[in-house]
Amino acid sequence: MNARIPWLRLFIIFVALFAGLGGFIADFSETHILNPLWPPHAKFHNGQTMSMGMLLAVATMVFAFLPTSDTKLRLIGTAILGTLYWTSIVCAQFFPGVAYFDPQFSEKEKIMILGHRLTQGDMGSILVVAVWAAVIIFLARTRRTT
Amino acid sequence: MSWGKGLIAIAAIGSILVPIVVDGVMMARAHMGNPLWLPHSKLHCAMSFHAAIALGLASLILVFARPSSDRLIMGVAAFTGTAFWIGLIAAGFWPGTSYGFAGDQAFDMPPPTLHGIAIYPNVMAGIAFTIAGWVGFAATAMSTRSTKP
Repeated sequence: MNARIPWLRLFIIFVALFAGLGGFIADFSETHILNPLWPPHAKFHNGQTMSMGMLLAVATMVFAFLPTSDTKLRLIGTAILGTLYWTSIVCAQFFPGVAYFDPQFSEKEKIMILGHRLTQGDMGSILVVAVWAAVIIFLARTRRTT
Repeated sequence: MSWGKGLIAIAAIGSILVPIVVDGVMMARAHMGNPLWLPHSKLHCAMSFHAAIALGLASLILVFARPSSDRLIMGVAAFTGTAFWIGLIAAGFWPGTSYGFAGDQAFDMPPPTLHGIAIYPNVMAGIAFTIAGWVGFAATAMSTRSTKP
């Protein structure tokens, strides 16, 4: 009975919604889009990432349950769409001059999760690795049983 | 390759090249090199570059690496190829944003105008690439339907 619940796809949808809705809730604040120190075009790039996070979350939900005979492709596509936003957060830290929070909000840089203080990059890395590890294990098991 | 797939590929290549070449290199002084941008706004700019490249690559992989032209695959290819551009157009509706450089004292460049109306090149590119990607999808969907027995 448990096998009928698509836990893996639901997990990927959770990761995508965390990015889409979480990004919106976190960024619609004085630290981002309402920050008077950010020039309008900097806010525009923030708006782009918020819009993309939500678009990708919707696309992940739609793609995860599209009827198709190619379920392997559907799972991999769902994982790509669901982790893309987090991957872009992780990669963005390698550009010069960037930071997860501006100096005046440095106390917010690390978020306490399950007793650990994590940056957005740490959180993104954990989620991306978790999703892809689960997908690879699932596909390996499926291949073994077929 | 069908012209429908070609149009999707054009939108995808636009996602990969245009943001990094225009914003990241040609207009770096207005973005990552802008002294008025706080570090975290630069992080969001870098995120938009990476998301654009990843989406474009995902679209190209679907268009070229799989022999399939079915509607699902081409729909996802069109979405990934145009999501950056749709997000760009939507970004202008958030409060306090500007498609151009309004209010930026370090890089004050007014947009070109036509009959007094501001024409933003990034919005024009966004509309063109979005139309290209979805017209491409419609073309592949129609050709798939017409070749079915």
